[in-house]
Amino acid sequence: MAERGDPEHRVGTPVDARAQSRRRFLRQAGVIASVSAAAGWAALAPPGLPFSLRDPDGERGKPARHAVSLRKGGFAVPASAVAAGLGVARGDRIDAMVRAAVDGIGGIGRFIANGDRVLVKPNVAFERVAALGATTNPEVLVALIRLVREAGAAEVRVVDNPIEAAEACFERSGVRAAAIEAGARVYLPSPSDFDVLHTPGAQLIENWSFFHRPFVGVDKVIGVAPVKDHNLCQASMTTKNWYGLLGGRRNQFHQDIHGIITDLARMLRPTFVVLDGTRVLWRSGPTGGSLADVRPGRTLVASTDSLAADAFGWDDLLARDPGARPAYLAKAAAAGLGNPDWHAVAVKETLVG
Amino acid sequence: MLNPSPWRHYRRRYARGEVVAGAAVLCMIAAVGLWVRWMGAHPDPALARVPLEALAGDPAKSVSRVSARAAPAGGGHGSTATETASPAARGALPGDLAPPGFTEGRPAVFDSENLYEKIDGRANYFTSRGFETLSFVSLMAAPGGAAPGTSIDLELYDMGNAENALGAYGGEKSAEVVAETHPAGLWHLDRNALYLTQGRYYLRAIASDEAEATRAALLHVKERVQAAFASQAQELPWAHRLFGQLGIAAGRIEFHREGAFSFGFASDVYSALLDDGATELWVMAAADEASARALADQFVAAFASYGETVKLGGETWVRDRYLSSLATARAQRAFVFGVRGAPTEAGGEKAILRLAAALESFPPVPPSSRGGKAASGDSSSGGGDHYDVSGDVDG
Repeated sequence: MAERGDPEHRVGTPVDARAQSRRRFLRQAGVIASVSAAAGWAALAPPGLPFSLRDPDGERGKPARHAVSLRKGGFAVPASAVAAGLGVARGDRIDAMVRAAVDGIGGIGRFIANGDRVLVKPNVAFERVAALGATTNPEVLVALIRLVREAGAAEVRVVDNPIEAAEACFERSGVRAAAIEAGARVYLPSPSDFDVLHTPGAQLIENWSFFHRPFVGVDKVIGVAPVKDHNLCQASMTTKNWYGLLGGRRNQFHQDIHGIITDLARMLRPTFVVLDGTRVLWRSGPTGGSLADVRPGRTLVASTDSLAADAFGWDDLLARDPGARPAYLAKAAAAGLGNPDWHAVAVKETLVG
Repeated sequence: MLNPSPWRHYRRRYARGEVVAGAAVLCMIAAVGLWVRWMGAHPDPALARVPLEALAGDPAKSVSRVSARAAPAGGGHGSTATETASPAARGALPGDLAPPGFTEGRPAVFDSENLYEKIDGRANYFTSRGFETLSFVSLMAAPGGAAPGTSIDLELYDMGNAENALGAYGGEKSAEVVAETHPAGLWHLDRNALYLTQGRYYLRAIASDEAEATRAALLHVKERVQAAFASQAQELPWAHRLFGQLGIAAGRIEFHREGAFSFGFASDVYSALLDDGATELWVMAAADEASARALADQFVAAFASYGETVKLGGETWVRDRYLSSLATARAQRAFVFGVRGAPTEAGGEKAILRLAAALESFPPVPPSSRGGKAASGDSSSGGGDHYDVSGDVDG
């Protein structure tokens, strides 16, 4: 019998060559048939069966959206045994007032470290000029950003998801110009900036669309919100301010406005908040409109506890009955999210010239 | 798969130049990839800047956010809107609104399903008062015109009828403001803002400042809107005539479409604050005398939930346990009326007797303006129960 390597054999045995060719053909045909059968199964088998890729309604083809979480414990810094719970500054020089209010709760050095990336959340909800009191006073924002940068922050991001068109709200309110003037970056929302945020324990927004992109890499979060009358929840201050980070059809939460504000207190634990009482929208809120709806408050409040700041705003700046405070304060306090009894904490009040 | 030698190299060697070029291309692709990733993580917000001038935009690019269900039939009720390419997207806004020195921005129209996109948090104030549509436009300072940065936001609310428009107006007007009366409604200029009702419409024109020139522009808008909606001119609601007989200015009258005094059953109630700043007269029209009597009893019971009933001069009054003020309700013909907040019995009785005398000869109220209709979805009923004109109590 001739060997396979024998050239004479290879040349002289066409029957064997045909056999090899037939085997190769059968092998290739088998591979093609197997692949075709597998592809057919994957494409046509009902979705419940193994290896089925069938996607009759297109849902399976969507990229999976995994819920994100904010940092465990939030963005709070360790509690201080000596700092006051509320820093209150009254006067007319806004930059000095911001500094004095933050000094009251321990000074900016307690909160901001060198190289921190800081997110500042003003209220830019409406397309209104600042004088109408429906949005954060841009002068307060400028002073706050400068203070944060002085403390060594590497980057300051100014973030909100307004109700009306974001570009128009940021422009008309003066917040955009103020942020850029002070050296911050403004993040306007776009659909791809939102992720589903998982908030353990939240009743209404346990998994809800959240303006997450600006939070990536952030070390500290500061809220700065005006004092406003509110048609539904009586008052909108620092805790309600986080509403502007939600996406989706968030207006549905107005059915349980105090419930959602309680959830917001749970969702975001800030480094500290600033209650902007330089102007007080004391009626026709939250939109306002007439300058007659606004009165000068000449006050800024800083606190690590948004419930305490809000309760102070209700009692002192809106000058309303302390016995009839908005229900979310009690709900959030019952959940251990803060203490609205600001009389029980140390208050450092400074009069700025 | 069909290539029997898939890994065979047809060239065993590559030129040095080819290797260098290939490596350079790979490096470039990697650099582009890294740059895209970094820029994605650090977007430059300046790229997204939209100047205000651009927001003013082309009026032809109107934004219609009204749902198909509520889309208005034309370019406004009796309006002269002719210049926009999309009258439906302009809603009820009249044409030629911009005062000299201003230019119109992009109009937008909202209905009850998306009003929150414009005034979230405040939307409920209007939807609970019969809101139908909001037509909005900004008037921006034109180059070389009004002071740079000056703007006027026009919010024209279609409230369905004049009573609702007056109700929305009255709820936003501060007590110290005295409204002016014109044939089709009320108006006042409050520092930087103009408030006006004209038939079924309620206009808020909110300026960015209170400069004289800006206030003059607001008055221009007022004239323009009044002229455009001249066809809406009609008599003020019946209660304005009634209170007018008592010498009460129209600007003091408020209309509560539903949930008056936080009572779920109290709908279509008119009230007016008297000169003492405390006593409030109120009145509503019921379907008939029996319904009026039943409603009056219901009011007294509801007032009693805030205090205790006392007999004064043979009449039942309720003394508020917190404010010590007096309130009562009575029925006469098909009217239900009363007093709230009276500091003294004598003052309250005097006021209610004047109102009763005026009602003696007051003409009947058309069915469409009668109250007592079931108030929907109100959980704040002071009396606890909903009530309808048939006298049945819905538990």
